[in-house]
Amino acid sequence: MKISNIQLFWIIFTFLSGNMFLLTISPAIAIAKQDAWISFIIAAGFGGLIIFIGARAALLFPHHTFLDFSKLIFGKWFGTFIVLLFLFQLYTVMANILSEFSVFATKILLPNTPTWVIMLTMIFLIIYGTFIGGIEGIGRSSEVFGPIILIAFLVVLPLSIPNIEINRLLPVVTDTAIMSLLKGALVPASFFGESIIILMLVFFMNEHKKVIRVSLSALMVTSVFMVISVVFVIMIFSAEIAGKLKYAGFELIQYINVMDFLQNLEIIAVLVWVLSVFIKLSVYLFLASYFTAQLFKIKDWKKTIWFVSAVSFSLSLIMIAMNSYGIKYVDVIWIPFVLPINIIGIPLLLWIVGGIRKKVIFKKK
Amino acid sequence: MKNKKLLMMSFVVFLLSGCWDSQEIDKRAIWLGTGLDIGEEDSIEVSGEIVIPKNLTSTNNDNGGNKGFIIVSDSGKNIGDVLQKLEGKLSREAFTGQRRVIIIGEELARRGLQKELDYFGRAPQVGIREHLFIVKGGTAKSILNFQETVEKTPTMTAMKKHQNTDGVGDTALLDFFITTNSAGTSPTIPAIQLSNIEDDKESLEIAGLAILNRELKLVGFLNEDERKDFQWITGKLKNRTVSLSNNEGNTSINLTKINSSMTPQIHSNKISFKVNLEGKGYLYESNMDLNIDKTDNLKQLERQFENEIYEKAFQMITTVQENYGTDIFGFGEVLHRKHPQQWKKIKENWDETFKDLEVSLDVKITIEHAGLLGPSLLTKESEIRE
Repeated sequence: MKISNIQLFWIIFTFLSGNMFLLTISPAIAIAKQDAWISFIIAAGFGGLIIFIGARAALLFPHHTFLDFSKLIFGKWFGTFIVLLFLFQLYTVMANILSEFSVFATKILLPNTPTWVIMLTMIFLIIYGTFIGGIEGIGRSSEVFGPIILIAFLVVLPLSIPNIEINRLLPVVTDTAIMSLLKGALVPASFFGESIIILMLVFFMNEHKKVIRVSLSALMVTSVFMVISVVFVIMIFSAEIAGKLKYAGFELIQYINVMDFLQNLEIIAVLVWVLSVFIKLSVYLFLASYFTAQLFKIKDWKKTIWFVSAVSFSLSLIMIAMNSYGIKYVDVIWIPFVLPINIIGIPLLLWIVGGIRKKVIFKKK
Repeated sequence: MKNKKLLMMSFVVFLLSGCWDSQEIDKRAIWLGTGLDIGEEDSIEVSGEIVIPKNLTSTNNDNGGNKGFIIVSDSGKNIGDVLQKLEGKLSREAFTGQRRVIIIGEELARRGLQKELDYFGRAPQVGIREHLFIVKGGTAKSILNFQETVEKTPTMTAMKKHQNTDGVGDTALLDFFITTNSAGTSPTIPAIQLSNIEDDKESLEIAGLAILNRELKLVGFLNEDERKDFQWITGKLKNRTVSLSNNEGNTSINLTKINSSMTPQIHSNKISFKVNLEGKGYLYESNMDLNIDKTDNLKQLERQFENEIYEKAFQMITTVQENYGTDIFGFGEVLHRKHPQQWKKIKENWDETFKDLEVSLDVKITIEHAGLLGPSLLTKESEIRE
């Protein structure tokens, strides 16, 4: 059960692109206005740093799983605690994506369908994929889905060129202070930060030489598309309108009208998003099941799939309920806790302490 | 093992049975245009133009006197409220995914649009790419009830005429939203009207542009020629025919390459604007004795056209400044983009500044060729003025 470099590239690209395209553009523009594209560049830089640190930390002990090497570095109890923190992240973010997915689908496509039906359909799909294929299956499906998303981007984005008005990008960095550029980078940064899964994925790679280069180039491709999309959204809708739209990426594609002939292409946006969500949820489901199994010393990790999906399904139902009380996962859990602790703090600690420990261990030997 | 497979296969039933929200196309009524007017007791009256596909597709002209569309209307608190009421008047559920045109009656536009148009951005069934019109001197309902012979429905008539006349087209709604949100531009909406052509015959025509102020209330109209000048200044014009008549006769040019620029100039805190209009084109018609084969004569014509355009456009800018006092040209937005620091200081009462803004205009016309003729075919050799 191993994945290749190419598969890693497509996993990371698919994993990031669809969700970011739909969910991060508007919040960033709402804060950073017409300079939101700078926020995205900042966020992409941050994502690159996270991948670098995460991969470096994991590459210290590439033949140990995440649980094993964090135990090795921090000892049994603290190491387990760290994995528990990550499991918390995996379970909750899965639930969050599920709820976002179903809410979007009911809003745009299926207004009369109960959200739990959409969630269950998706859950059965990812259970099937993960159960049959494991990480290898996920890698292979992203090898198919990733290029589809890439082609969709390449075909659809140029179609909106007739609608653009370059002036809407002006003035650059005078209406917004540096602070709001950074604040605007927060939401895209938390999505780019999800690439910390590299920390757990390295173990499943069949070769470890090019991990950093491959994952960084996947991030690079995603961020180029994101920056172009943001620039397009601003040039078409103007910053004021784009900040008020819920799904600016979706509207960008819906707005395409070529010669009154090519219209209503938004279904492509939905396709991109569904494929991306499928890969994203599958990766999370796999990692969550694998490490839950390892934590409880269950030999066959596939047995925990059912447990994990049941938990995240119930969590996502709770999250939809919470959402209507105005409590948003990204604001309440992800940005204050997951981002500083799981995405920045722990990988950095693992890398530094792990580096020192490795030398000590080797010296002993 | 066999049982397991059977179980799996029975699951497929759920996946293949189709879509929860599916609706057959022949069970739906296609909603093409929306008309908004003031209803009874200050409510809003919403009219919908619903097409009947069967009557639209018939190729022979006499389809038993059946129109290709019906109009339903009712009034209520807001658009959603009325749509709810309209359901009772339709035998099929209205499908708004093909909605293309919004028409607003003049009365309603004068009352103000601040509280009326949210629905069109919010409803998920259709994007914000839509035509938007204000009816000059009439109600939206009167437009929707009007049928012409060329196009099958009134909204299609309005749409196509608007496209033909180089209008902003289906970006009108988005443009309206963008200008509403911008401190340096006031919104404008294309206008249409019904005008008498014979005793009891009417025709639907594009009638220039409606000007709205900051509170989104209609304050006045530009006529068709002024609209074209306006679009030229704001860089949205693609081609234009300009005609000129003097004591020698008359002549027209067709401008096909059109450019414009607005440049803010700041001298010791006083802001002025320089507007450049540039047009290149060819001679379209010349009912004059002038020998236009001669470059000098063409140059002379160019100057005359420049004057003609200058006067009309300058007059239009001054009228807007003095009579309406609302910056539809987006001078403020240009200032915002080019001199953001200055803009911060004055954006609060920009409309006041705009009223007294000094605008200088510069027109440059180039006639590239004179068509397939030298002197006019109707002029005798001896009468040609060199």
